[in-house]
Amino acid sequence: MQAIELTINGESLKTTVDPRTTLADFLREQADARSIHLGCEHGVCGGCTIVINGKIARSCIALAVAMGGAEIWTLEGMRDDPAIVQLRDSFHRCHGLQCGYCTPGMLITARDIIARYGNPEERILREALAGNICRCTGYAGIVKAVQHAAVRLEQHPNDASGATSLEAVSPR
Amino acid sequence: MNATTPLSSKKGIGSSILRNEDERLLAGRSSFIADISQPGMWEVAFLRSPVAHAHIISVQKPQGAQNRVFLLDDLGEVLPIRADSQAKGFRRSDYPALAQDKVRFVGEPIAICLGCTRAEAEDLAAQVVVEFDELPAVSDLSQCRDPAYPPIHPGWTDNLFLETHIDVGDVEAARAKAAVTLTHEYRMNRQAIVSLEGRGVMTYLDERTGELVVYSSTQFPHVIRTALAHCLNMKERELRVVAPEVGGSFGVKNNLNPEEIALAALTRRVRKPLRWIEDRREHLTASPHAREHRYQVTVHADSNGVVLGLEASIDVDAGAYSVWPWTAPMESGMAIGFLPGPYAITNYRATARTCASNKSPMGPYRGVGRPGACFAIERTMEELAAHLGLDPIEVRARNYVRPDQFPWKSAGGKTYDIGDYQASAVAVRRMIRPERVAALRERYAGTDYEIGLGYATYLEQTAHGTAEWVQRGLPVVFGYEQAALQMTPDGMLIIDVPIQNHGQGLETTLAQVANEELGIDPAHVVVRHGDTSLAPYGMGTFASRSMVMSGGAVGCASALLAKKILKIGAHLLQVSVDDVRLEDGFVAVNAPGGAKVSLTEIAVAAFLRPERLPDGVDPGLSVVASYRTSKDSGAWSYGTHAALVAVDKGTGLVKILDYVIAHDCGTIVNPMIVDGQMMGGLAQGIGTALYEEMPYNFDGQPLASTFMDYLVPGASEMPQTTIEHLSLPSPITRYGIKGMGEGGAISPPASICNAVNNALRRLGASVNETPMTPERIIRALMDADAGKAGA
Amino acid sequence: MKPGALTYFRAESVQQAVDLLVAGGMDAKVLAGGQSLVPMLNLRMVAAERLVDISAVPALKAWSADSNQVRIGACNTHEQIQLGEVADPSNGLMPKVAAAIAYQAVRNRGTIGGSLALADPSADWVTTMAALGATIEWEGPDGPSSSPAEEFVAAAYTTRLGMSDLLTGIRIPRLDPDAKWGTYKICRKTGEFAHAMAMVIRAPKASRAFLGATDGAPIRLPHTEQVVGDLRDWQAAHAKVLSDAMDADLGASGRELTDVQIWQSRTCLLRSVQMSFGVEAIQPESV
Repeated sequence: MQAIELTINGESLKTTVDPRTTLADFLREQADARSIHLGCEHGVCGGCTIVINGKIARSCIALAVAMGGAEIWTLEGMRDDPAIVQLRDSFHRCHGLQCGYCTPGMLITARDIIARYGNPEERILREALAGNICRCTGYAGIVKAVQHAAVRLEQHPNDASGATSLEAVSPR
Repeated sequence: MNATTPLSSKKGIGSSILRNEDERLLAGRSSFIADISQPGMWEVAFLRSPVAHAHIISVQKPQGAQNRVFLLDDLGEVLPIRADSQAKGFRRSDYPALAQDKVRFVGEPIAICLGCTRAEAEDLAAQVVVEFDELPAVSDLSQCRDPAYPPIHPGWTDNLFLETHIDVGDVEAARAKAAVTLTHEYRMNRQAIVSLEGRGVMTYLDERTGELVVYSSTQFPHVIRTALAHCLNMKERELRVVAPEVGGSFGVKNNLNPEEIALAALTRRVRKPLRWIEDRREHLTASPHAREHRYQVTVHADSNGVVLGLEASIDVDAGAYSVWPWTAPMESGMAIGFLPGPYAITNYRATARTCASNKSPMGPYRGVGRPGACFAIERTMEELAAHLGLDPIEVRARNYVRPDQFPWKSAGGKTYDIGDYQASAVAVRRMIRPERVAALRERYAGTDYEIGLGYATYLEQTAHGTAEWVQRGLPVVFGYEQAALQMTPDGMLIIDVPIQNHGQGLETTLAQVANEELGIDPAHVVVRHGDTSLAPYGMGTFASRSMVMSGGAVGCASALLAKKILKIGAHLLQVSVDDVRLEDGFVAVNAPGGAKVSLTEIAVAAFLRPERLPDGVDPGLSVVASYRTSKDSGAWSYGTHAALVAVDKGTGLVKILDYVIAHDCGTIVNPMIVDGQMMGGLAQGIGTALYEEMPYNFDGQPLASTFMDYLVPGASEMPQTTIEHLSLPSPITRYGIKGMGEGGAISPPASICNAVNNALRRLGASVNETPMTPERIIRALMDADAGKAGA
Repeated sequence: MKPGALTYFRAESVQQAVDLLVAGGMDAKVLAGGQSLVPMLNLRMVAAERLVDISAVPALKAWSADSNQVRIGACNTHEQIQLGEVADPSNGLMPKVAAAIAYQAVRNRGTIGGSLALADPSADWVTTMAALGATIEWEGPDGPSSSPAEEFVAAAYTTRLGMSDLLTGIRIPRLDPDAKWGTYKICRKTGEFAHAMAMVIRAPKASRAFLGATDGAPIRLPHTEQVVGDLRDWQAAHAKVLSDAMDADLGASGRELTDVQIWQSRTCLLRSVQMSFGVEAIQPESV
């Protein structure tokens, strides 16, 4: 077991961890971050996508022991983030989910897409969603939902600086 | 979009209301099987066979781990999974919960290993030493009768589960009269099913209730309970099966799994909570597989393209064991039964062989045998059209069963209820605009791109009843549903149903049915499902049955409840029951500005203030109802798909430029949800057509064990799509609803393959195999070049 | 799929990292972004009793540039290159390649050094560094060393790195401002590994042409480079000459490609040359 100290959803945590524990398993167990869903454990499906140090990342292929000093946000901690709030509404209205298993990863990736690209054309949007697999929706509702949210966030950017880099749009 | 029906109200049948189930899923806070745990729980890793076919000589547990590694004999009284088809000549394959004498596919479970963490359990599994005496592996269905390969199961003389035949009409006469006879081979390769969440089981003993509790990511908890009770020799009341939130299934969670039996038996023995979460490698290699069909089809037609007769030879690779409850031959039975498709073919002769092999067993997957049958018949129709130089829709039109011919008893032995296939085909031809093809070909002339257009019409038998299941020869028959409804004292409605919602939106659509009968706001309706302790007995969600069957049960139950509510309401309003109606959460007098009383007030009277009830009306407001369709032959959805593609000869990649669907699923409860099911099915159909394959090598090793090798479509692989809804209400279901969850996945392999062949025809190249990988397309182009060079 | 037991060390300097690798011998593995290593650990395709995390070593994150070259530390991520946060010596080629690697979540953590050290034949940087004539640098128990990128990879997953060597950076000569490049790869779906790849750089002094995503090291195409160097524009007629040159190069290379690989590689090469002339590959659009 090795000691680590990191911040999860705004709260600092000091604990020990078996070095082989992935960040995904660590967060699910230690922080009740059950929004993290494991679909492959090799970094392809995107179901485990979270934010590490301001950037989206796969938690299934990060090791908890390597996260000393890191700032981690999961969907649980982003509940009141303006982009996530809008995306939840958009996914609901546009039927962007069916079974819900891919949804947390989709929301976090969608937030990053909007922060990076604003309201991209559909081809760019679909390519940017390539790292998140959905088996239920055929992506139709998801694409509509992200477009729906992008338009509304463009009109009413979050109350931070409105800059496009994710660091400025960090979840609060 | 034809969304409304005479029955519709703002939130009832026909409305695209938003889903009740979204909030918890959008918060990421629901509980899937990996979120369910118990104090003192051990994590399970299965030791799975690394070889495809072998005798087990010995199993050596690691030192000091005897109480954490368990074999079949350690599980106590356990019966194997026995899925016997009633069909004559079927050969039995008993499927043990853990392999004991023999392993029959790579990934077959041999031992359960326990650890405090899954990692530790895997460490333990790696230390178990198994000595195998390897046998030749049947790795291709062409080997199933080859004496060089030993029978996989005891008492078998070769590796064939079953052979069936159909011979109706007079095929020989058709052959003699035909102006054209064409024979082609078509092939769909094996694939995995890939729900995003894998399977999983958690078991524990609830000593308060005396139940062995089995949480399983399953589609049909009651049926699993019945099966487990049988395999473990327990009473049904001693078992509780719960499906938590389920992350997609599409059929892979619709079988009795050896893992379910093994964990339940072990918890019963060691009295510890246990949990197994299937990982992706297990899912790809060792969960039930799908789609592996081969067809040789001969069509006899006149010079107008009217089919006079059809012959077929069908082979299905059903893997190492017969899955329960479907049985190994169900897939080939559906293939042979559905091959005539929507066409009025009366002379039909076919043979279907269900082969056994040393591969993971084949189980149902969205569409089941129909994607293969549709592939074979729809390719045949377009080859026929091309051969005769006729328009493919025109040829179909000359062969479709006509609206005045229903009910139609097909040559495959099915009874089609109602349909207008031509309307769907004509609609789709209008939407795809075939006149564009010439202009597009000109635009891309001289480039690497060949443009093609292809169609495919499908039939989807849904919500079939008892007699149909009996005909299929399954060990259990389905064919009805139940629903339990209860009002709460504060005016909400709780619906307990044994179906299992895993993305279909049934927590919303069943509430819409309740709204239709009771006028209650769907937001005040809670649908609980997946728990054998809450819901009355029922069959679960599969075969596109839930909206019809469960919707029917909820409708019947709601109607019964409505009668009582109206009586109480009329009494409270002091008018005759003939003078009131249910609307928007109230019982209201049938006059403008009439008095009304809310459902909440009625519930208070029924539960808390029974002195307010009329004479002859008992307290309480709950009802259990069961429902069957008025005929058992199924409610037949159907539709036509069209694909416009550009085949890149330089890369072998296929780009879908436009995709259109015109389908008929009768009365639509929620158009938004129907569109979602269609798009999801289309994505999986595209997966089958272009991307998904589980190849096995000569030693029976599955070759695609991660998402690096096994590709599923992402957002960029989906085409722009237009869907049009036609609607001929079913004559045999309540509200005229038909199921539709699978149709989206049935046609795409056929429509896309037809389009690719249409594109490459002028080069003399053809592809008749899915997935149409770049390699297969390039090889087809090479073969065509070589053919020309040699000519 | 969970990893086997392992221990973890976080290095604070290159020297410390090398010492840790030496101490761990065969059981030591370098952890940078983890985007390739941790999946293999999860799958137990690789065992690592000792992980040496280099992601916090300042020297490995650094990069420097002068008028002749750019030197990029091994731990710079694909995203940093994609966004132009490190100087670009390649007239836009490297940011374009970076943007097409896998998915954004992987680009955010995956590193150029990690990708080169693993040497998966389909990895974009392996072919790109060879095409740019870069030099790979590393440190080991025997001190610092380097190799031209086009000689760095011997076979699939096999480089000139010794067991305890640590790839520290890549030195990339600046392209001539007039140099034009083109690259094309075949992926069956967005984000997956390439099945075939080509990269062409047309420069006044010397052109470079490579095939990647083969069974091993990238394949240099010297005849093809000469043909490319002589072209003044793109015409359909050039396809035959380029194709013949590629066949000659493949024949001389001693490398065995399947007929399908040759077909696809030819397509990638032709489209790369076209792109270097500013002729965009036709992409059929939805209609």
